[in-house]
Amino acid sequence: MALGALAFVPLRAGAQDDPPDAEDVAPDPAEVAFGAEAEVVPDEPGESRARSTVTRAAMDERQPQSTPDALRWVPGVAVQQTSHAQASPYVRGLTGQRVVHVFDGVRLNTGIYRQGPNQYFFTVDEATVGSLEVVRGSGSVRYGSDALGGVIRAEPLRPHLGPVEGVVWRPRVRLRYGSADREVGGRAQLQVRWDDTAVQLGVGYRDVDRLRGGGVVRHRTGGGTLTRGDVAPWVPRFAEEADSPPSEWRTQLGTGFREATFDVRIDRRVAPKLRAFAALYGYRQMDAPRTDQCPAPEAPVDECLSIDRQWRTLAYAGLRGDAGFFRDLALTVSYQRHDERRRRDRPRSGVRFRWDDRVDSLGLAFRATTPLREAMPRVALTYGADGYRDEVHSGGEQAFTDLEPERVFALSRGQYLDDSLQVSLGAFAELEVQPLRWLTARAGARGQIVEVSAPSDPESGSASVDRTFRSLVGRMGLEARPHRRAAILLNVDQGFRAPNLDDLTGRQQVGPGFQFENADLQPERALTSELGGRVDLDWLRFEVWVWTTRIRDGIQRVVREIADCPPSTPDCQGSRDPFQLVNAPGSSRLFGGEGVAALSLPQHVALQGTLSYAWGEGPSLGDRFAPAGRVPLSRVPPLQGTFEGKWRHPATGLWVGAGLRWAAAQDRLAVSDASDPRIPRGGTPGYALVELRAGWRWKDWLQVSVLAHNLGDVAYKVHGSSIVGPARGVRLTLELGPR
Amino acid sequence: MRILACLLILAGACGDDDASTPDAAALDGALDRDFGPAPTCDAPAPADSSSCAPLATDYAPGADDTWDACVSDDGEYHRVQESISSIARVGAFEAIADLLFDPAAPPTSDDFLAARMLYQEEEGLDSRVARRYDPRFEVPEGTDCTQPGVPEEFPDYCVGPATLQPLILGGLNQGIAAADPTAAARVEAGLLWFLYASTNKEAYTCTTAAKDCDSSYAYYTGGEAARGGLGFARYVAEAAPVAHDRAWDGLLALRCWRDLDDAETATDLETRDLARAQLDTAITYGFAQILRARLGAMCDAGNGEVAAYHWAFVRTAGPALYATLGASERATVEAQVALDDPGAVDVAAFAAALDAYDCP
Repeated sequence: MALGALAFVPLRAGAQDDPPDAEDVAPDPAEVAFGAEAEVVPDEPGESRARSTVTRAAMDERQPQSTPDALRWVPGVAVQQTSHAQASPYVRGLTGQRVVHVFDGVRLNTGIYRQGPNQYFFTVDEATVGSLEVVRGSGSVRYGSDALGGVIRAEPLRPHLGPVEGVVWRPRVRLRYGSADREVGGRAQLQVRWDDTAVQLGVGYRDVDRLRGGGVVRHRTGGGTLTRGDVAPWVPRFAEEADSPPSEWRTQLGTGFREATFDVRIDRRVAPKLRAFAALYGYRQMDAPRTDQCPAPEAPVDECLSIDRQWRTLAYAGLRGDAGFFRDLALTVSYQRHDERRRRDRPRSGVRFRWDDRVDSLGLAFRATTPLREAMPRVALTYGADGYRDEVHSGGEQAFTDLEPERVFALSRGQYLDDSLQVSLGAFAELEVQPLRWLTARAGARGQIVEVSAPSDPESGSASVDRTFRSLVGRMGLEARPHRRAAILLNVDQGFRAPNLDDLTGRQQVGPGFQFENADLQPERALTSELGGRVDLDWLRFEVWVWTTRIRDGIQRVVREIADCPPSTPDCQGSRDPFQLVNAPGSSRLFGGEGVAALSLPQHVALQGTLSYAWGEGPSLGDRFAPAGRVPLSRVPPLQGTFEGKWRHPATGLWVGAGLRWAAAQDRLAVSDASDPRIPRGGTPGYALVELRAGWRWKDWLQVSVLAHNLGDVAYKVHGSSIVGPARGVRLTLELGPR
Repeated sequence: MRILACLLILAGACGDDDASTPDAAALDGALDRDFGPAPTCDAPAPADSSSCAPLATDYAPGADDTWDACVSDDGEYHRVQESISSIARVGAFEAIADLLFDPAAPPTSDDFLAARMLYQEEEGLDSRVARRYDPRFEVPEGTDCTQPGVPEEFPDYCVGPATLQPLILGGLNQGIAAADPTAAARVEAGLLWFLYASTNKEAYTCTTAAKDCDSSYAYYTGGEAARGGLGFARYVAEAAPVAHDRAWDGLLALRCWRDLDDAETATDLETRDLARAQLDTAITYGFAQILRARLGAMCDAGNGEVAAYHWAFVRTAGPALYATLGASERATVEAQVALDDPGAVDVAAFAAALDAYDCP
C-alpha cells in the first residue's frame, strides 16, 4: 500500500487528531515506498479533487533545495526559478498570484503577491514541512480569491501528542551539503513532551554559494556572433573561468544566498480529538541576488539587483479537530509580516537604489463540518468563513555613493503606494450527499468581497485606488465508485481572482521589461472542468485526469508603448518593453492532462511514473508583432514527466533508488516570452535528467541520504527560468536524533 | 516636466535635515577660478560644403539609384517597433543640456546635481553609457566589455566603461563639488560622444536585432520625424546642415536594408555595409564639424570663461575621432587637445585636420 507521491487521503480523516496510540508511532521511512503514508495530510477539499501529496519521507529521499523544489516530481506542476533563491510552482500552467499558498491552514497570499512567478513560497522553510499537498484546478469555493490554477498546502512538522511518563526530550539535528552550489546548512530541533502537551523548537541556517550549472543553454533558432546575446539568452551570466572559453563557463552570477529560520510551536490536546496550538515561524533570507538582474542583460557584471533581505514572520494560534457539533474544526487566528528590501548597486556609476516593501497581514479563518444525516443517504455540510487584512508600506531611495558624504534622495514612491490596504472577507458552504453507497455528490458556493485602497502620489502620476470586488462562485462534483478500489470523478469548479494591490498599484522591473499599474482592472474568473479515474490496488495505483480551465477577463501582460508609461517613470520610459496588466477580451483557455502510475513489486521494489501536459492560449491583446486571433499564454510548461524506482532492504535499513525527470522543448511563446532575456530564442530546449539516490537508516537515530543529480551533466533550463539547473553533483544529508 | 520633477526632488533633498546632505550654501557656491583672458585667434572659415555629393552607392529616398524600392522611399523613418526606449535617453540629454550646456550662463552646483539625477535615472543614459562599446574597433572574438578588466584592456572598443562613463561622471561630480563650467563642457562632450558612438553601434547590431536600427535612428534624431532632430542631430544640423541631411539618408538606408532583408538575422551583408558606411561617413563628418564650430566659438568667445568652456568641449570630444582620422591628422589633433591653454591652440591646424574628412 501507500505508493506514489499521490496519496489516497481519507475524506475527513481528522488525521492529526487520531487516537494517541496511532499518532505516537512515528512512521518508519524505511517502510515507505515513496513516503506516501508517512504523513497524513489533514483533510481539505476531499479526495474528490485531483491532488498529490509529497510526504516528509519523500522529501528526505529526494532532498529538494526548497519547498517549491519538493514539487518537481508532482504531476501537473513545474517549478520555475527567476533566481536561485526563489522558485514559483506552476500548477496546470498557472502560477504566482493565480495559485493559493497555505501553511498550516494560514493563507500566505497577500495583497502584493506578484503577477507571474514570485518568490513567496520559497520562504516556507523546507526543513519545517511535514507534507505538501497540491490541489490542481480552480478552488475558490474553499480558498477564495487567487485559486485559479490550484492550491498548494504545506503542513508543518508537528510534535507528537499523547500520554507519556514524565518529560520526554527529543533532540534532532540535520546537516546538509550540496556540491553544485556548495550549500552548507542544517537544522536543530527539540521536542519536549509532557502530559498532553508538546513543544517544538527549531533553528536553521544555510549558506549557499553561486550555482554551478550544466553549461550555457543556447538559442534554438537564429543567432550570430556579434554579441553574447546572439549566442544564448543574456540570462544568466557566468563567472569568468580562466582556463575555459566563455562558452564553457558554468558558475552563474546572480546566484547564492543565505538563510536563517526559527520556529517554535506548542500543541496541546484539549479534548480527545481536539488540539489547540500556537506557533511562530520565522524566515530570514539575505543577500539573494535576482539572477536576471544581477547583472541585468548587457549591463556590467558588477551591477546587481539583490534582495538584501526577505523576512517573513508568521504567528498564529488555533484549534483543530472535532468539537461536538463542529467536526473537523479548523479555527486559526494569524499574523504575518513580509518584509522585503531590494537594492540595485551600480558601483562603477556610484549609484544605488533601494526599495523597501512591508506587508502586515491579519487573518482569521474558520472551517467545520457538521454531519446532517449519518444513515443513507448520508448528508454533511462543510462551511466556513475567513477574513484577511493586508496593510502595505513601501518606499524607495536613490543614493550617490561616490560623493562624500553620500547623498541620499527619497523617491516619491516605492514599488507600491505607501499605506495601501487590502481587505478580504468571504464565507462558503459545501454540501455532500451520498445517496448510494457508490455515489457521492458535492456542491458548494462562496461569497467574497475584496476591498482595495491606496492613496495617490501626484509626483509619480499615481492615482488613488478605491475599489471593491464582489464575487460569488460555486462548485459541484460527482464521485462514482463502481468498485471499492476504483473511482470515477467529475468536478466543475469556479475560481476567481480579484485584482490585488500589486496589479492595481505596483510598478516594477519584471523579467521581460517594466510593468506599471492598471487601476481599472476587473476580477478574472476561471472555470475548471476535470474528469478523473483512480484505481487503487495493493500492488498498483493508477490515476489519470483530463482537465480544462477557461479564464474569463484573464489578467495578462500586454506590451505597451513608451508613450503609455506613467509620467515621471524614467525606468519605464527607458526600458526595452513597457508592460501593463489588462483584462484580456474574451476567454483564455488551458487544457491538459496528468497521470500517475505506481507499482509495488516483490522484494520491496517500487516504481512510479508521472506524465503531465498543459496547453494554453488566449486572445491576442494587440501587442506589437502579435498575430491576430489566438496566441499562446505566457510560460505554460511543456510536456513533462518523471520516473522513479526504488529498492529497499528492511533488515539493514539500506535503500537505493533512481529518478528520471524530463521535459520536452517549449516553443509556444507568448509575445512577452519572445522578448524575455531568460528564454532562449525559439523556445526552451527539452532535457532529461537522471539521478541516483541511496540511504541508510539505523534504528530511529541516524539517517544518511545521498543524492547524485544530473548524472549526464546536462545544461538545462526549466521553461521561463533565469538559472541553468544544477550541474552534475551530489547532495548529502545526515540526520541524528530520534524522530 | 522632467526638470520640474528633478527640482522638486532637489528641493526636498536640500531641505531636509539629513546629516548626509551637505550645506546648501556650499552647493550653491560658484567656482572661484580665474579663466584668464579670451584667446586671440581667428575662427576658422565655415567649411565648404559645395563639393559635397553622395556616392553613387548611397541611398536617397526617391532617387534613381541602385537600391530596390523599400519602406524608406517616402522619406520617413518607419520604426521597426513603435516604442523606442532610446528616445527617453535623448530626452534626458536635452534636459541636461537645458541645465548645463549654456556657456554664457554657468550652472550651479544644484544644476549639476539635478543633471546627475537625470543622467542616472533607472534605465537612463548612464545605464547605457556603462555598456557602450564601439564595434568599429577590432578585438578578439568574445571580448565582453561588461567583464572586469576588459575595458582597461580594450579602451577604444569598450569606450563606454573605459572612457565615457568616468568622463561624464567625473564632470558631474566636479560640477557638484565646485560648479566648474568646464566640467559642464566635459559632460556635454562626453554625452555627445556617447550619442555618436551609439548611433554607430546600434547600426552594427541591427544585423541580428532589427529593432537596433530604431535605436540608431533614435540616438541620432531623438525620435524626431521629417528630418528633424534632437540631441546629436540638433548639433549636427546646426554645425553642418548637409551632414545632417546625409545622416538622415543614412538612417533611411539602414531601415531600407532591414526592410529588404527582414530575416531575424540579416543576410544581405553587402547592402548592410553600404548603409552603415553611408551613415558613418555622415555622422563622423557631422561630429567633426561640431568641433570645428566650437573652435570658432572659442575664438569668438570674448571672455575667458566661455572660451575655456568651448576648449574643454573640443579637447574632450576630439579623441572620439581618432579612429577615423588619418595618421597625420590624428597626430595634429592629439597634439592640440593635449594643450590646457586655449590661447596656445593652433586653430588653423586643428581645423585643417578636421577638414580632411570626406564631405558626405
